Amino acid sequence: MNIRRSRLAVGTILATLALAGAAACSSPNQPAPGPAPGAPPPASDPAAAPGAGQATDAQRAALGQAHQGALALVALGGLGAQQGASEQVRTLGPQLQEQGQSLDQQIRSAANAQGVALGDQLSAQQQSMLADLQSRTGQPFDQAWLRAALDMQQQARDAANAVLNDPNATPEAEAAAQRTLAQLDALLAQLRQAAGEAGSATPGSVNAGTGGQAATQTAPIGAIGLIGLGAVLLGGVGWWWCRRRA
Amino acid sequence: MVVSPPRLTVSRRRRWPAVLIACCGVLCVLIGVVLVAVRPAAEAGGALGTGGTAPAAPESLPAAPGTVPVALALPARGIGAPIVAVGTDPDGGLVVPDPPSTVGWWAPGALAGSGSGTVVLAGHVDSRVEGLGVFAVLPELAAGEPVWVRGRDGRVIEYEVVARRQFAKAQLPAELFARDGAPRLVLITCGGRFDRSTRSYADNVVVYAVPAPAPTPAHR
Repeated sequence: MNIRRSRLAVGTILATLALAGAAACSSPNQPAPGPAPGAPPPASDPAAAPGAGQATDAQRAALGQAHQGALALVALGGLGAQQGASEQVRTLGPQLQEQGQSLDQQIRSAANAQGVALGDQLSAQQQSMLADLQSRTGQPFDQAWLRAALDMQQQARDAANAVLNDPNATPEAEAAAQRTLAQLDALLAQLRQAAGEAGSATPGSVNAGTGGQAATQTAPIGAIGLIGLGAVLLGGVGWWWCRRRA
Repeated sequence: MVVSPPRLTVSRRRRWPAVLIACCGVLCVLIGVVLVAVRPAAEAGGALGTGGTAPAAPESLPAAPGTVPVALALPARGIGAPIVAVGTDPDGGLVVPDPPSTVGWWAPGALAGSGSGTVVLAGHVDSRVEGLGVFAVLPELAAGEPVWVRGRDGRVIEYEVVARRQFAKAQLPAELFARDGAPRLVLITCGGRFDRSTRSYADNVVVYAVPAPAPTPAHR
């Protein structure tokens, strides 16, 4: 799956929201940071605040990717609702969809305020991730879907926490991150519980042998036996030799 | 007139059984020492590696559609096995199919033939009831050996072995289950010392394989 690539876009949502909420952008002397997941909001610059209608290229890119990330959440949620095998996934799907729509709404508002036009297409990587999920059915679909949803949620959380931990973050950016975290937390607990029940957790162990027929300790025991036999033989010869000499 | 044999000849005749026994003793000791010295190296990684870390992953390939794996083949050894989807049990252990002739695919992971992520297959090395499992062969797999995975859509995805590692069970790397990164196949079973009281092995044997560079059209 290309989950990592779609995480990149999802992770930018928070940074972009923080950016929009805080009316922040890059300083004139420093290029705007790229839309990496967890990126803290750039330093404040009133000249490029939402509403000023002067979005930098970096802001346009961030808004575009954040929008695609929100669209991916919507699509992922819709897929869960449509193709989920368990009741849990079919219930969580629409909730994820709703969360994505809510985030997208905010991103669109920020984009409109800055005069940035947004497309409606998912990235190739996001489409690949969805195609990967679509080719699964039944419980394997649920397991992979839950992992994908958890990954997206976790990346969004990481981005929010990065904003909160940034000493340079504006109060508005922190407030936006807090709101988003609260929104994410509500769904995260349900996703984790469903993932545990569906068997989606990363395994910590693999127990794949109960017979002992393939055990490797027989060879060392044989080797030790050989050494012992050799020692006895050499000892016997030595004893005989000494006695004969005497 | 009777001529007595020289004293030296008698002495040699008496001595040769002792020399023979001494030679046998030396041989036994040498073989034993070699077995003891060589075995841990083989267990730690065999001919394919000696470290406890996973091999470096190659660069990611372009995104490609994956397929649910349904059968595994080791063509060089004439071994085949069906694959079933498995997950993680509530205790955090990977569910391994009971019949040792069947292999489990960790379903939350990557699809076979996908452009990214790790396809994880696990199988029993042996079973108390049914004897040796299909993955008992893993400690013998050599670098470059082909591994074929057939998908539900009929495609055969070809991989080739690049490394083998042995980890203590408690130290099995979580990155084996990565669903991102370069595409690869990982085969997991048990190995090392067997504890008869708990009926479990101390280690996991892990074989790493990557997509074969040039799949032959005949297998498509």
